[in-house]
Amino acid sequence: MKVIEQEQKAKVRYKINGQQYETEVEPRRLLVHVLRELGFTGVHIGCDTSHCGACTIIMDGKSVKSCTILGVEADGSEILTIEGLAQGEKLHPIQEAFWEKHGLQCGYCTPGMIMQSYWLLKNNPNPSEEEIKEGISGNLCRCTGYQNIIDAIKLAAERMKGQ
Amino acid sequence: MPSYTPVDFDYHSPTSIEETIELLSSKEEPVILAGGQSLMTLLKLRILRPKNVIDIGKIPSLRNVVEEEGELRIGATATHVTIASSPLIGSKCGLLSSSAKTVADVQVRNRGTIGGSVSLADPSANYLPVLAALDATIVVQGPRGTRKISSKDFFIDAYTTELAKDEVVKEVRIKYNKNMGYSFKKVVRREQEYAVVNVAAVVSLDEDGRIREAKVGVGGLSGKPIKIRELEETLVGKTAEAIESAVSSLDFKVRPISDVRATGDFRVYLARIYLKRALKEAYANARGAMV
Repeated sequence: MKVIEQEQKAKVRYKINGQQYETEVEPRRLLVHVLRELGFTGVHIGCDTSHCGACTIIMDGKSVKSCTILGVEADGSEILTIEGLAQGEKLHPIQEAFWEKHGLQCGYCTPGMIMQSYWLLKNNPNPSEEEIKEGISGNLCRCTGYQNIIDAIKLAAERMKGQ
Repeated sequence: MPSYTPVDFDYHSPTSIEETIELLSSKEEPVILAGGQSLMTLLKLRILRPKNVIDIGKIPSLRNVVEEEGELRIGATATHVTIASSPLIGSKCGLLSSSAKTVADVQVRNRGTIGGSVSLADPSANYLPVLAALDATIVVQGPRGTRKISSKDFFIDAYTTELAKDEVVKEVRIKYNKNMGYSFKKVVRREQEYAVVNVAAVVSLDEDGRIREAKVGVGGLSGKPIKIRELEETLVGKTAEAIESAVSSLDFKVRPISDVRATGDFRVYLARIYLKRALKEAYANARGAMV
């Protein structure tokens, strides 16, 4: 059993976007804060109350809201953030589709939207419009640009079929 | 930048249920962290200010979903997505899978747990009318041993359960019958919102298409989920035609919740409509299963 006392920092390890990281966190620190401090500022803080999904990441293969997980709780896990999607200069098909279909207005919700779309398409490569809507229902776009986001996910699904 | 951060606490990650109980008894102001999808928000808003957080997410045996002695035994930290996608639960108790599929949103379902949901006992939670309808058993463990509590006794009022401070929910047990038609319906204003009212109905038929047994649960109407025995009894021996009038004349015998989401009268109004729809759908499914 692991015990970490308050204000005492614990060593935690994560594998983020394929690379090992080791850092120290207090028990009360949220994973989203820890990730941002490690430089992954694509993980956004939106509502901070588990509603908006801007902080969505893939943790151990599942999409989760990183503002609703403790840094210590995630110790030892494998994490994928928006920074890990592109292959060098080559954008991920979902990123390209969001760009082409104008799936963003202010762009604040975009990293979370894309990470959630990534999980959605991984689990359902050929989603219907209803399934897309349900799949991103945990992500809010305050610009209300949902129509183009849905179009972008459809286009990404189309392009990823061949891969 | 201002941000919501919980108050300072000591973090414990026990590897067994015995260690968990030891911690619950010995530590000051403890809370249990399972999936954290409700707890973390309560911590961030500082509605809860615990001195000790006990993370039971690292106890593998608590995540198991098994079938034993004719009942489903679902570990406390089985997530909603596990419950929604488990072939065993799907084939044995489709009603539970169906309720798990519409808990909040995908990210929450990927972390949130059934044990967390029943321990919190939010009146709008999806599982509650299902567990009430099916007379599920909540197994809890504490320093005085294990207790098996029926959902009728477990849920006392909104956010209030029979669980003692030094106990932890270990398992949810559900007895099921084959060839039953079922339906779960949830009234929400927006997709990821809490339910205003939710209903669970299960129906089994005899060879002539008459109702042999009906099980009905309603959540969100009052502080705790209710099983409507009066309606269950009225429907025995009847066909789908009887549903309309039986539900219309039903007296719920509860003081309905009136809050920001809906007034009490509106909740009763909605409960009737959705009970009718759920029962008719469950009946049609049971008929379909006979053919």
